[in-house]
Amino acid sequence: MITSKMPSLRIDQNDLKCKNGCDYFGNPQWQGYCSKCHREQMQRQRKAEKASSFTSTLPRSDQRKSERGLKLSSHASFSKFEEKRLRQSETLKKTNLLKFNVFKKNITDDHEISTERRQPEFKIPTAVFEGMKADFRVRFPSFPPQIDRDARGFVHTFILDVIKWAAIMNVDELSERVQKQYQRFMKHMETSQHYASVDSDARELLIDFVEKHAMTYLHELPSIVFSPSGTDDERQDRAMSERIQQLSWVGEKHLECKLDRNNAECRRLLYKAISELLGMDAARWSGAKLARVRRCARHVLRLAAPAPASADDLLPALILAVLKANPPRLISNINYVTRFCNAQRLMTGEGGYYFTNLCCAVSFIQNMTAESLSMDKKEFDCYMAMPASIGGSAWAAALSLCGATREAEEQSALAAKLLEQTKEIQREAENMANNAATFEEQIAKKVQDVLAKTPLEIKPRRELPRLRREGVGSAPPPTTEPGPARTSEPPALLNEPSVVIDETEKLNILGFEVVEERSPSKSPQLDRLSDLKQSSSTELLTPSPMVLTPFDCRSLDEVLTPDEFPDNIPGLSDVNYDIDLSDFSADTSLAEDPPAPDRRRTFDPFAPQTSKDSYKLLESFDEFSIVDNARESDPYEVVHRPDPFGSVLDNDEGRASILDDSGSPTAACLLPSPIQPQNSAKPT
Amino acid sequence: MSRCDFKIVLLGSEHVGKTSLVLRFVNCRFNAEIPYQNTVGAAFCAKAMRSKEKDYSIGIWDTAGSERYEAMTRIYYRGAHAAIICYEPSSHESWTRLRHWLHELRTVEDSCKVYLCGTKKDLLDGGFVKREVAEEIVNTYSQDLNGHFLTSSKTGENVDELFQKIVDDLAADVEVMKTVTESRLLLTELDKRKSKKDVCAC
Repeated sequence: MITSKMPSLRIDQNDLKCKNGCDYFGNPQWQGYCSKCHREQMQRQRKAEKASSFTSTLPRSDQRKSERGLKLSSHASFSKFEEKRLRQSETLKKTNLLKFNVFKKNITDDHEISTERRQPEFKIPTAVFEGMKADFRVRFPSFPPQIDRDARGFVHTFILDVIKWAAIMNVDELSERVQKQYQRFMKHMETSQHYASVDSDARELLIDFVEKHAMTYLHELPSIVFSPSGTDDERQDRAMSERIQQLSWVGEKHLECKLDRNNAECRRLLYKAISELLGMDAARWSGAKLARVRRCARHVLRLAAPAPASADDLLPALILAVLKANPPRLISNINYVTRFCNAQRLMTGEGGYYFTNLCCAVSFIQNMTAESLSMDKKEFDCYMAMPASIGGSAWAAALSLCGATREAEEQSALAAKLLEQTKEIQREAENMANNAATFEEQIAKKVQDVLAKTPLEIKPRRELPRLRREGVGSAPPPTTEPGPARTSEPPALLNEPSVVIDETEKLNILGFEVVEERSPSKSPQLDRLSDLKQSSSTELLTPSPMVLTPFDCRSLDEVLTPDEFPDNIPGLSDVNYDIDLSDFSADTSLAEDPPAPDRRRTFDPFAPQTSKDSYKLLESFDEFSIVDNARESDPYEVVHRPDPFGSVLDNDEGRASILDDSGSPTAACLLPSPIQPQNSAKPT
Repeated sequence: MSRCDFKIVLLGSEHVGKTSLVLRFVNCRFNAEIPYQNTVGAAFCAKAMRSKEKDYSIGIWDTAGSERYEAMTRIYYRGAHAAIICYEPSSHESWTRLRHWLHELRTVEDSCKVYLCGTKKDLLDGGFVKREVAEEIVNTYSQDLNGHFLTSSKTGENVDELFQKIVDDLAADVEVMKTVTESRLLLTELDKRKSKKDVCAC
């Protein structure tokens, strides 16, 4: 093997000879044969192929011949036959499919299936009976369960019977058998005693019920009842559909029906009728199909309004509707209804009449000639020769317009609905806003209520000072006694004004007893401090904002705080300012009462002075005031001289850079300084 | 319900007054009681009728009289219990058409009862039109038929009588048919039993 594959330089002469062994040389292109042998070989192969293909096609062609019989001669019939064959293969496929569906056993084993095919035992899906049971309960709630069982049992045998016989019987026999089944059930209802209480109307409903469920299931099975095998329903369907396409040029004037395609109402009714016709195919049992036809016919009859429509109006309009609708599987549907509906029940009434009219319309369309349209034969032929695509009539346009308007209507309805919804949402949003507002009001009210209650809660606050007064009551000795020591201990002095404020508050509330008690304690303070600034008290009590006084340089750091600046009302503002300073004492009782200063301002004329004192003392800790204290006589020069940055910068520049007043707002507008009176007092 | 006991077909050429006849019959007599399908039209009418203390509902099928639909008429009278063939005494043409239907009915539906109905009697009585169909001919034709009426849809003359006669006849017929079928059933059952017995005996 390996050697033969190896490329060898030496080629034996035998290798070059024809494989057949004739003395001619072979050629690898001819598979090692010589030209003659290769040709022979090829011919043999071709023949073999032909033979095999022939054997495979042979039975089919035989079948064709036998089926076609004498009709074979014409070409037209051949094409029809082709169609039929196609259809048969289709139905064959369907039946295979059907068997897979109907034999509800596991399809895992091929062998099993093949055995099943031979013995057709049908098993109806339990879902059918479940659905039936539910439907029965809804429709006939008062009926005894015996009837329910009866009906289901009947449907079961009915379906099995039909499937069993469908393979053997032709359609007409089967149809007869189905009719007999209906009669059998009716007879059963008449004879059986548990139907004695059921009146005739309910009996009719019951037979309808049975028919509906049996036929709905059978309709789903292909080629059993709907366009059954052995009939050419499907071919007729196609032929009919083509015929209708060919006749698309037929309009209302050809049929002499009084329809006005420019009338919107007329168009609408015809459109409705057509949609009902188209819906007929989707309905599964004949009763539903007939209902569709009935509705369609009613729409058509309304076309003749206001005059009561007669058959003379109905039939032409119905023909037109069928022509324009071109319903799918029309012939199959008609045949299905005629063969398998309960003839006694459905065909005698109104539905039967309209169905008959539909049959008439179909037969008219099938046999339509020039005479039946009362037009010239040449013209008719001309129309018929025209390709179907060209022959669109104005009706098609009108109906498509109708469809479009319908769609537009649907859309507009949808839009209206949406609009309504948005309005609803808006309304709800408003409601919600209202709710929120009322809620807010309620909350505000509640808050107000709570606020109204809070003055009551102030009482414990008032108690607080009283409690403290007891503490203070014991305290007076320390407050009064360390009076002289205050000069040496500034923090102790800072505590002092807070106590005073509390006491002044108490004065308002509790009366004058305390005032008498307090006033002596304060007086030494005032006396002592008056030594430092004699006229300060008088200055403060006379608020004179108009007096422009020289700017106080020492108070620069406080003045610069922007919070206090705009509130600076001369005289009175000083009081506020001082209280802030007194907060440094870390006395909590003071911090709790912000409105206290106002009260104190009005009631205690001494307060400002005390605070002023504290301020004065605080100032003594200021880095500037250290220098300042030394040269109290000249307050103006304090800023200029103790410049900490003087070593780095020039004297003049240093003045301007950090501590210069020109950059500060106070210097610009020359507003009165809060500590102004103090300074103004000094020069005087 | 949608079921009707009797199916009655109206036949006749165009403009003889089939629709008017139906409208007259359906809307006038039990006007207050059953306003049946006034809006829908006169193509199909159902009405409850009484005959010998028994109620029957009849369905009256109007047909298109136009000649172009004549070929389809056969579909209409399939399975009809009774047929009313209308003609206009003043029009000879309508009479010739009547003969055509008569012939067809005889051959296709031989069990169907046929009634002749000459319409527009009021015009005839008033002398507005001249009679073209001789009474003798009509009589000879109607001899082997179930009945002949001259009606006027305008005045309502003979209209109810016509339909009442039809219902009476059909009701009587149904009774007969029923007894026939029942007896036949009995016979077959007896036969079955007999055969069974025979089998057993063997």
